[in-house]
Amino acid sequence: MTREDFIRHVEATQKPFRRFLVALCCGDSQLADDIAQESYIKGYLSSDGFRDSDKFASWIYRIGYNTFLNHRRSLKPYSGYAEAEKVSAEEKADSAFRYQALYSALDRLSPTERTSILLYYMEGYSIREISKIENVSEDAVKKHLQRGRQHLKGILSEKD
Amino acid sequence: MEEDKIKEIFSKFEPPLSGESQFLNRLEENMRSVELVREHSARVRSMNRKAVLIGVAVGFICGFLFSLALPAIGESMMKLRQTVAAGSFLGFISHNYLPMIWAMIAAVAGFIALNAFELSLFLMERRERVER
Repeated sequence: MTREDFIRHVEATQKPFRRFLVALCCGDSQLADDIAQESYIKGYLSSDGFRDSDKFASWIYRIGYNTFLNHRRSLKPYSGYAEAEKVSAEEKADSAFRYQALYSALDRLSPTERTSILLYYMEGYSIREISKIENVSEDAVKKHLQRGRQHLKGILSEKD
Repeated sequence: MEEDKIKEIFSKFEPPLSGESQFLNRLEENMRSVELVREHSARVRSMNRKAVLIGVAVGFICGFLFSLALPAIGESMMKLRQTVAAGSFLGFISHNYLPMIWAMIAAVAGFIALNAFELSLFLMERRERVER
């Protein structure tokens, strides 16, 4: 893959990819951008052997997911959501707080449940595609989705 | 919770992102850094390959030239055999000189080859620093 081809793929995928990473990082857009940058650079380093242009998006999502897991292992978990939830309604009008309830709910899911939920409901990937991205079986993805839905149902119902 | 509700939540999900051009510019800078490192690694590999070839060639030529001296060494050893006692140390050497000579040629040629490798690598790196 040439440099120009790679840049073209980046331009086509960066917005949904970054949106996915922001949700995966529960609203930490700076971390999401750092992971996105690192994922694209890792992709660029291995792009010489990459031939299947149609699968670029799922390939970069896989790299992004693995990069997110590596970051998570090295960083302390963010515990600021309890504080953020106490912010008043007027302040919640600020766009940064618009999705606070959703981030808080996502934060309580495990990384695999969160990833499966986001890839399935937000990005529209099939179970087979998600299993390739997460490198697990399709049954495992179904379990992640089921558990993720149950957790989200419980958490978001509390807030309603 | 209905699946539709989850889909609805995510369909309306549009978090604020940093500017696209800002993100892409930053990525281009990172890609350029990666390319610089790759170019440097390729140059270092090329220099190492050339230095190895020079070392091997110099070592081969030295070994060949030293081995041309073998007939003369053989004649000297024949003369030495005639003058010294068979059981003495010199007598032992005069009868078993070939393996020792080959070992010496290999050691000297290898030492010269190594020095040729180091010297050629040093000169190539210095030339590259000057050119940059």
